[in-house]
Amino acid sequence: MLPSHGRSHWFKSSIAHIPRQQCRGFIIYRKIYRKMFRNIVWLSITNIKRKRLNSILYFVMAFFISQALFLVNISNSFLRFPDFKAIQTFFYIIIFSVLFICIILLAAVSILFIRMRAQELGILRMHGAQKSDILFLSSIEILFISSAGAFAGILCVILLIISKILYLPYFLEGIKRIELIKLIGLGGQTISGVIIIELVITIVIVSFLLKNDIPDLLGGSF
Amino acid sequence: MSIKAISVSKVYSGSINKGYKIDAVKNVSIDINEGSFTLISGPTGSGKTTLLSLLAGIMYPTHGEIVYGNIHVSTSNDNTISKFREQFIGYAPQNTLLIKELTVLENVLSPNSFYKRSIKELKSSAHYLLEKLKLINKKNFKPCELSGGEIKKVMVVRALVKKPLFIFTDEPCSELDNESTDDIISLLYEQNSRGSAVIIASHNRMVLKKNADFYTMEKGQITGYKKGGI
Repeated sequence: MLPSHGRSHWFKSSIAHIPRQQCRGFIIYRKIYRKMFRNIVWLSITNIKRKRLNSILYFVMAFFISQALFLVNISNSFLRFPDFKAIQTFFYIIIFSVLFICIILLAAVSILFIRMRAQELGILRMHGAQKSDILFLSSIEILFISSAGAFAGILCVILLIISKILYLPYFLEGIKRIELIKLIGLGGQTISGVIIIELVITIVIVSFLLKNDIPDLLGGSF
Repeated sequence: MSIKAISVSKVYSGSINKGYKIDAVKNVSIDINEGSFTLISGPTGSGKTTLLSLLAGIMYPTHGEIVYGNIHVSTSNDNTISKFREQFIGYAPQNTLLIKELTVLENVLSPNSFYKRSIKELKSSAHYLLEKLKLINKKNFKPCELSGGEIKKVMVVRALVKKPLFIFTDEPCSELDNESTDDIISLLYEQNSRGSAVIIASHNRMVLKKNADFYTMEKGQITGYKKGGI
């Protein structure tokens, strides 16, 4: 049988198992928000798993952006080009061009995919999801994908340099003096950078989309 | 707890033809009380769906006021209305509105899994409802693998799974055979007997229950009201 009706007070039912003396203030909210956070993480993992094409595209974008950013970071921190100003400039132009193209592509892909998700956002809103919850859900999804993509991108660059496939003598010269901690720090910095770039783009686009009313999100069909 | 519509009107203006306006709902007042069973009937284009969406808080009226308990929609912010919808309202739309990448079970759970509910509780409730509507063996199917009637049933399950206080269903029995219609109606009766208010917009008067409120609509206005049958 279906559990008793309980006047739809899920708030009460969700804390029913907590001893009375604990059912106060912060503890209640901590329990509830922990459950809410767990649910949203479950939802975001389900979305990532089911929307493979979308997830793979974001992963690939994060992969390339992280590579470009990591190369810029490495060259800034470890390499000095006192006698090769022209090479350095050429190097920067190439890297920043790649980065610029990746970010434009990312924005275009985000606009396309998030617009395609308008109906889904409408369904969530129809059932009571607040705008902030949807933003939170989208952010968690992007956080997972972009951090995985960025990590893979950085790992790839390191492997290419170590295995000398990416033959950059100036890099190698610098890398001999690289301290591991500093390299990890740079990697972390790059991952945060990629996550921030993807998050900002996603949040801006989702926010614009959520400005629409539910019937507009659903395309007028409900 | 009740939902009140006080002299509500809804005007749609054409997005292409700017001067074109349709009065979908005109000056309608209606009270939906906790535990009531209401059928809104009327010809196509009479404004049933619009009225249902206004009552469910999915769209806002052009004129008039919707009141949820002591919450006035016109003076409340979006978060308050969303919270009310999330806690108390289940809505099964007329058209197919399922997330095509997700399975039946995920479609039922995902819009309802924000906030305080445990996925475990929701899952047990979803299994019970899917079992009742003979869809349990299709819980891992995607919407594209279902028939029109089955999609309808999934949307009803999605509306009921959080055990809302107000259940709005728009043409729940269209595209369904007699057996499936009976299954859905008996499920709605069951929810009603548990204390939920059930509000149905339908041409099918078979869904009407004894002691139900029966409204007829025409050209955006309520033209008739009967208590307890046709």
